[in-house]
Amino acid sequence: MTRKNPIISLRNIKKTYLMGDTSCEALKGISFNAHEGDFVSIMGASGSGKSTLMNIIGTLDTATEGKYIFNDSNITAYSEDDLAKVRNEKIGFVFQSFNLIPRVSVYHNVERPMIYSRKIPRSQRRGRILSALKTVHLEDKMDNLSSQLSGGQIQRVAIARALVMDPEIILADEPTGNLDSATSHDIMNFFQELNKEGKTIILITHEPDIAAFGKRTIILKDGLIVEDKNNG
Amino acid sequence: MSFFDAFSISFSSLRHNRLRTILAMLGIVIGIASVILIISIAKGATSSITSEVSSMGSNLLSISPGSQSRGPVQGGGNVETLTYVDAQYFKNNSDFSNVSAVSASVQSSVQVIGNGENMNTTVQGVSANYFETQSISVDLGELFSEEDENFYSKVAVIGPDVVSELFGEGADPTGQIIQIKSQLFRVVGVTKAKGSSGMSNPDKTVYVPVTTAMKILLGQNYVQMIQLSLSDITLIDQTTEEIKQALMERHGITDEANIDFNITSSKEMQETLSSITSTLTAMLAGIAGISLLVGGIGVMNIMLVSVTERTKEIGLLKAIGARRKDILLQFLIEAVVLTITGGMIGMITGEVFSYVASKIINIPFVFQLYPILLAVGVCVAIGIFFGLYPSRRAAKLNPIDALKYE
Repeated sequence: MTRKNPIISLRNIKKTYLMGDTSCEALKGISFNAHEGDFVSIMGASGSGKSTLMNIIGTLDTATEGKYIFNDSNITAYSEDDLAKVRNEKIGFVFQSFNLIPRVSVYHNVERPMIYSRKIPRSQRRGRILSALKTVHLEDKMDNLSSQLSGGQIQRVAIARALVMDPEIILADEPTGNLDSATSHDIMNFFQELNKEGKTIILITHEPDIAAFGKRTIILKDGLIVEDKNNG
Repeated sequence: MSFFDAFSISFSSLRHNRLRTILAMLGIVIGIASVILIISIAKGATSSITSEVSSMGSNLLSISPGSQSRGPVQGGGNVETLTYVDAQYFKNNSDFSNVSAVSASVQSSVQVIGNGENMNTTVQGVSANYFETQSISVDLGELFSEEDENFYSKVAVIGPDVVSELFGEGADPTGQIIQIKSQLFRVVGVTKAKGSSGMSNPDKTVYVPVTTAMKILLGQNYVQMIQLSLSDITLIDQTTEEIKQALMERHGITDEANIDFNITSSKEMQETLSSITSTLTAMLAGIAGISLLVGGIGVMNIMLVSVTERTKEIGLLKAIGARRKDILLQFLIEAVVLTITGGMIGMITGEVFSYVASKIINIPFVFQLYPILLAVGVCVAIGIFFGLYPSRRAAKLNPIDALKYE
């Protein structure tokens, strides 16, 4: 099932931070669309505004100016609770530092997003956790704590957690930043596989070889898009 | 987020930091346990005092000499305003139909010699029916009679402690002679052991007829107390007033401000005692309550540490869709679970300690539901009150800053 309208549509997004008397313009007018099945790498040096952009796409932050259409809804003026619902149901986050809760098992880490959802009945939880863990090939590790797993495995648990709600997009913020290059390539191959199965992926990175795993690369510089190309 | 999920998350987090959880709980445990212990002991003491007072007879009116308005010398034995004739007046007067028995008494601390032994003790001169009004019964021999009172007989009824001290444990002293203030008295009876009632010890008292005590032993014509037994306790206020008016007339007093006697009822005494004990209880429970407050501050402290420590986790929870109120609920439940668990342990500890204490100090163990309900309520309140600030702090965290927190 493909749709014509983009999943994500950013229109002239600006973000200004006020620091005392001075203001700092992190994003100076960003516009781009991402369609279902896209694998977009957003690349830029530190200070280019890519983290700010990621926070806005992930609805953790709101733009100072501009319009954000997500899944045909203008979410620019959404309340905090409505945005939490969007994050819960439509966006799967994967972070550089994994962010698993260390004191609970893999199973309960993957369960967490469902705890904050009204959409999924308790009876469906177990099935969904097992299927997400199966996707990342970790179904035999569900009773382990994160301290008993390798870096690559931990990131795969985080991906399972991002997948468990069956979101519209996966938002990965430097997902390989804490991994060695071999594991990094494994994880990126895994993202490619997910994308082939139809998941829309937005990847934030500062490494060109990681960005190259995507189908399309957007390069940011000083809060503006300087390049938007399809990867050959 | 459902309550069930919030509870299970809270439990897992409290279990994870076991030592910290136990230490935070300890403040609540000590607070609740001491409140329960104090209330329970106070209740036990009150019921023991009350039953002692009522064993004296709850239908008694006591008239003692002295003024109500003349400072601290109240009920002083040396005030010479109450006479034996006053007592006789109430006894032989059909106007006071509610008065069923009248007993006058005097007392003095003297040396008593018998069987070659001597002891210092209280000699009480009492009317023949004093024993009845005080529920004192005879164990050996007999009590003295009204006739003994009328004829100034030198007879004595002695308490069991006096028997063991002068004649030896279990001896039968009836018919023996004892010497009180160089006068010889014949022992006619021994009272049944009754136990000390705080103010006096009837087991260690020598009773002689009040007339004999006044005339022969003490050389005085006033009495220290007149006690009246009432047949209908419900008319106590009316009878008290009648007696007051009659005594005022007898003593030639027209102004109530110059009144030279006090009338107290044992009911009044019970009320006074129970008001004293409840004030004491409230005070002690208040002090114990302070330790609960300190425990609550401990819980707040731990919750603040926990929030700071889990800042990054809170950021993650917000990123995966937790709303402010989900975070608030989760931390609040954690605080309440902490205080309620502490409260439960405190309650059990408090009840066990109260039971042990009641056995040691020999008062009845009183189990009551209301301190327990109160404790549960207080624990929930403390958990919410002291958990609210840390929980709100967690809920208000900005997810971007929280995720960056190291």
